Amino acid sequence: MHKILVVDDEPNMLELYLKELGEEGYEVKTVCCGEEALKVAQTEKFDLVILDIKMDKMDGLSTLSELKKLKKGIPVILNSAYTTYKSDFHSWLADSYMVKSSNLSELKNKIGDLIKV
Amino acid sequence: MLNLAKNRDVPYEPITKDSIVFLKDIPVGIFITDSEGKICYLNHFLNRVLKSDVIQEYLGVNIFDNEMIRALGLDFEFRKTFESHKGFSKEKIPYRASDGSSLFLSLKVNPLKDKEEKICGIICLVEDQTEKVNLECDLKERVNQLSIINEVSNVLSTTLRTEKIIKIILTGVTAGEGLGFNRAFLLLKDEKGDELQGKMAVGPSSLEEANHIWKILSEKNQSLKEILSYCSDAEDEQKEKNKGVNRIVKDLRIPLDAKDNVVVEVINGRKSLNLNDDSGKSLDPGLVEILGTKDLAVAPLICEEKVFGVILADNFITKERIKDEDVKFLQVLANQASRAIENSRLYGRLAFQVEKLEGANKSLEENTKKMLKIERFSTIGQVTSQVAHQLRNPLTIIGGFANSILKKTDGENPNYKYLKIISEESERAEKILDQIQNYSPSLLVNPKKQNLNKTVENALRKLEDQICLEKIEVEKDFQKDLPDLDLDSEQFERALLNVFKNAILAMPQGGKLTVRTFSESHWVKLKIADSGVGISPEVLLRIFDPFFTTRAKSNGLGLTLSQEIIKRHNGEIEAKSQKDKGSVFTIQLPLRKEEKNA
Repeated sequence: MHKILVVDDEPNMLELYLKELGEEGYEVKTVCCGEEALKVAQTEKFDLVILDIKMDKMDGLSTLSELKKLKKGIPVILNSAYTTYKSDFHSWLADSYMVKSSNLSELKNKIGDLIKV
Repeated sequence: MLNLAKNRDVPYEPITKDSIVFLKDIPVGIFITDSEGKICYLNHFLNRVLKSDVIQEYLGVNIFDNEMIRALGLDFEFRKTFESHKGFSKEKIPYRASDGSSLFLSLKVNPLKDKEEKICGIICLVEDQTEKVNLECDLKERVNQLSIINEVSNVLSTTLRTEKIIKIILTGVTAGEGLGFNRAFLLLKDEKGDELQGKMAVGPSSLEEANHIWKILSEKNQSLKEILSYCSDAEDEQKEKNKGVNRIVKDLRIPLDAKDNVVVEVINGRKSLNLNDDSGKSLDPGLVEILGTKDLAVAPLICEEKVFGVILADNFITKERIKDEDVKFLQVLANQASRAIENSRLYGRLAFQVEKLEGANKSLEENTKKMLKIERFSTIGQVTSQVAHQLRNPLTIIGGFANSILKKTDGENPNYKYLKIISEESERAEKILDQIQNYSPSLLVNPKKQNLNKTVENALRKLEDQICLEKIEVEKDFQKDLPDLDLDSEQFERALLNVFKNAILAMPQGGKLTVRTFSESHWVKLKIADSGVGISPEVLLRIFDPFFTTRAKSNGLGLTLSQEIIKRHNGEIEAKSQKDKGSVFTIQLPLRKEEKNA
């Protein structure tokens, strides 16, 4: 079973992903900040990370670069309410950039693609 | 000697010696008569008042028989005093002294009564008030002059036009109530400062003309104020009137290096001059010929220590001798004129600066408006962009859960319908957020070499279904060899979609959409014309404003976004429309540098 780490500071968002991705057959772990994400990434193995950008303390883009240093080759999807970070070159480290949407099918397709690779 | 009771049978207490001494020392001329009117006392001061040393000879003279007293009409007054027992006083009685000098006297007359209240004589106090009267005259003159200056400056303050000012001044110099000269001429230094040139004149040029003008003026009985305001109002008529003198003034040219020319002397000396027989100076023969007179008042126009002109005034018609006082006063008026003319010149310069400033101000205002608009848009952009982001998270969660539950809900379930509504509405709200976020000022374009025709085709293809549904005929007229452009085709397509959608919505009953591309000088142009309902002029002005919409379901960002994207391609979009005939949107984009050079 593929294991996905979801990082977001909105508990309800985490709840939604936990439910939806769980129903897709993934093992989902959720954390609410960047520091927490780096901590779990050191002890646990994940097949993919879904990363929010705008978070208190450590933001998604800093977390992304730390994560990529820590776990080379781990697929990361940046998932933000903002479209603007697309033009921030720090976001180019990510494997995909998706604007949050209530329609999760696109996100699910992307996860499928990235994990297969 | 002065026992006035002598002629009376009643007991009487005479004026005592003390009284006489007292009367003697009063510095006023005094005489006393008896009950018959015979002068029985004169004090020595009366000599001095009347400037005569033969006054004592008047002792015994009857005041009713004296010729001089009768000539002054005083015998009647004296008689009244005897009859009515009431005194009188009279002021400013003109009197010619034996030395020939003219005096003004004042008389104070009181009856003298005995114990029974019967008149036993009169006492008369005589004072010389010549000095007082002259002072009064002077004062009156001064007040009159001041009021002329006042009138002239009042009228001057109503204008800043040099021509008008000159006319007002010259009219003040010649008006009867003003200085009363017959004619006045104004000469100003030319631009180089080489010579004085006649600019304007006021007054009649001949006796006939003078009689005519003065008759009219006296019939109209105008005050100086009226004449002055008239001269500043009815300029043309005035010009007509002064035709003769204005012809003379054109001939007046005085080189400033001319020697033995009194006018030049006045300029150099900066002091006004009364040129008459007494002055010992004579006018240049050339000028005498032009002006027709030798007697002239000359006053320089001085401002900030510099002489810039001169006023000449004469009594050409009446030949009246020019008084020194009038010349002095002419100088006062000339000073007024100098100030006014200088003000007018300064005003001219100021007006020029003001005009320049106004221009600058106007463009500043326009720029400020533009800045404010940009600022407003950018603030709106920033705020809406923030709000949009804040909203996206909760919307994603609401819609996400609704979708999640919906998947597992049977269509028969009564809640299915409502869940579907939540899901659809969330999706709609998210689309609105998409558009707002796309409008975000940080939107970047990533241009690549592209052909506009292709982008237009793509956009039209996306709307195929809608175009078909609305029964719209599309006519495409694409220039085949249209030069390539630097386009972010994804974004530009979005811009076009909004314009096309607008056109489709304008034709609810179907219609024709004409799309034309062509190149023109350094631009590639795209014309999108619909045959729809048209846009009213008021709406047309605002169609690119954010959040401006006339449709209930629109968010008013479509065309704003289109314009933003086109601007980021260094292009322009403009709209024209005719009611019930349709609208035309023209988009123009700059050619690529290579194409321009080619």
